[in-house]
Amino acid sequence: MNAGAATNAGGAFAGAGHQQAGEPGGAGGDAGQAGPPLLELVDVSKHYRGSGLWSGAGAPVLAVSGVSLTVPAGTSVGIVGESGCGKSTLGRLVVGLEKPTAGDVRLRGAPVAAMGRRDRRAARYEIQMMFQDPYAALNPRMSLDRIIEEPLRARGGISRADRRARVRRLAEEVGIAPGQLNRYPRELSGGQRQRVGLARALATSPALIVADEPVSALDVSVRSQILNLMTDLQAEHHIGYLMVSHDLTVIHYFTDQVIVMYLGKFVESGPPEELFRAPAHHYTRALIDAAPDPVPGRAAAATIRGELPSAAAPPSGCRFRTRCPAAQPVCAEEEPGMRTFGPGHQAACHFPLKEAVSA
Amino acid sequence: MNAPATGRREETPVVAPVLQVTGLDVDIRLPSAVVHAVQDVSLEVWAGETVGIVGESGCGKSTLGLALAGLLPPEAETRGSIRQGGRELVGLRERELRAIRGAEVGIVFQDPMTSLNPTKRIGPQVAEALRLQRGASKAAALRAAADMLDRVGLPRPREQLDRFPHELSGGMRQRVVIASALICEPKVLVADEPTTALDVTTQAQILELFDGLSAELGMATLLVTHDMGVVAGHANRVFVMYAGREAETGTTETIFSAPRHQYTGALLGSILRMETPRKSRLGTIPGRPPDLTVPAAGCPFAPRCAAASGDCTSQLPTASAEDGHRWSCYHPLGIQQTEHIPEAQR
Repeated sequence: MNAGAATNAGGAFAGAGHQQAGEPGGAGGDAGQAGPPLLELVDVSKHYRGSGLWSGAGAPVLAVSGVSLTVPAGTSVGIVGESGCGKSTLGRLVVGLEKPTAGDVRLRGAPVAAMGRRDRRAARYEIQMMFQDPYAALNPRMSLDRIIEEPLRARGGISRADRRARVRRLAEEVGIAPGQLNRYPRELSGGQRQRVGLARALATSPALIVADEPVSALDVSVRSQILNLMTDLQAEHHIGYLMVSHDLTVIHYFTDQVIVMYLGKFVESGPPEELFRAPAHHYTRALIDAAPDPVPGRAAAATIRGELPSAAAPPSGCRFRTRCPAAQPVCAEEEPGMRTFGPGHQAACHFPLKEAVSA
Repeated sequence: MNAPATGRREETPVVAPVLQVTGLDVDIRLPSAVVHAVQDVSLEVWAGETVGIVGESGCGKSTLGLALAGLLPPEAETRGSIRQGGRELVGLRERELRAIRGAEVGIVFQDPMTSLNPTKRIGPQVAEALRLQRGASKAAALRAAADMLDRVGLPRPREQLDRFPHELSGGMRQRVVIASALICEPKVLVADEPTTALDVTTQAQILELFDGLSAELGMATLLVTHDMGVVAGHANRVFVMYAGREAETGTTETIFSAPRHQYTGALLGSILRMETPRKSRLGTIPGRPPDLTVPAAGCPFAPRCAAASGDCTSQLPTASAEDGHRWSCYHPLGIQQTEHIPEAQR
């Protein structure tokens, strides 16, 4: 399948047409069809002003630094990296909770920032968000039916009776019994709350759901229920997912294209099988080695140590060099460019773990 | 690792487990009901070994951890016995427990902010237990604190001594909590989801440190976690809890390769692995753990169990054992079902 592509600079185009969300569509994606991809980030940066506590001089913190990616309709793109790498900021930029300092977020080819008020409002309902802790995202004073109904009411143009009917359908779809709809978030388990969060995200028939650690807080048994549900919803409604997670197994299982992020930049991207089996970047390798594997006696290895350096003063050259086992003097002097290692597989490293293919 | 395997006990100089729990019940009294959070739990932990306590949320594993750490709330009523280093913990007063905590038993919880005093600098906080429990001088305790911060992988430990918790990242704070728990080199460490909030890179470092201290100091670790990957890599034995009770216990090898209890099987079947085929249908456990205010007549897992039959709902299964592997299930996995005659029908 032709999934997303990602780079740090310039646009990347993995063409895929769009199919109206909410309509039944094949899960196979619509790669090959002409037209702009569902979501595109073109050279997007987000800088925060230094707060003073961490960066006394008030140097700007480069949370996201010139990244580009595409999410074709109906596919899933995953972003992995340690906390502080900018992956959550990226998710917030996509749903419009943050505005990029530079670059474009495009929905079906149209830059969101250049849209008129009406279009931007419509775009907002097409991109929804799922949070790690749905409890924090659900209004504790609202009953479940009102929580799910709220985005519909906010958007307007639908009668109360139709809204009610839709809420019941959504609840049924995510596995919430109709009798539970008058309950409140505090009465629910973590898994049920995540189902409500999903129903709410689905209310406006979005084409894209940004899922920030959607299953990290859940028990393993519930985790698989939610992932099964997200997969079903994708097949049924042709939803695209941008999944942000530090859990490599979830990303491997769920996504079609994986992007590895370090200190605001993409260091590697590729199809999950290849990226996790034979990564090119030392950072990706270290993440894989550190991930716990449920095989007795096989302890994860801490191949990299220390903390992520401050995003206000990133290391010169390759940002990973201060923790990299293979760093050489050149890594401090020159920032490595993206090179191709296979179909859809790119990495930025001076001393990659495998040979680049001459493009 | 110098963990004495159950079968090799006579070869080691250790004569008694560092922690011995027998028939432990913990009831939490709420205004409207009583939660039977831990029921009839028996467990031994030997010096140098790590026991993983696993189960879904609400299975009682955290309450068990609190009981072992002597940190149960006043609403809790405890019966049975917890012996630690020849001393009975059940029935001790808060004052006596306080002397044990920190010195003999180190404690680490998931959220570092609940364990750290936000108004106190890192150095004195980490050094506190050493000052209180061992009467160390201020300067010596601070030196030891810096050493321990270095061992848990905190960068520039000496500079961190004067900082406040809010000046550190989450991962750094958790390392401070871990340093505080380990500073007196406790005999037992109770760690409840110690690395759940951390990045995998930091998690791997912290777990390596725990392993190192177990080998070096003979520290026994109770690792309470829902992460089967962490347990597989770091625990010598696994204690699977369900509805406040022991469902199954055995060596990590046995539990992962030949689980007996249907619940353990279902739990292992729902883990996502790198080998799991992408986008395949994942195994799940239907329903949710039972309400612990209502005592179950039969096996508490029966309502969610694919193998449950009539006898499962009528009487609690008794434990079967084989070479230190113990399970309580009427339909054990990997055993011919025809041999089994339920208690109720005998």
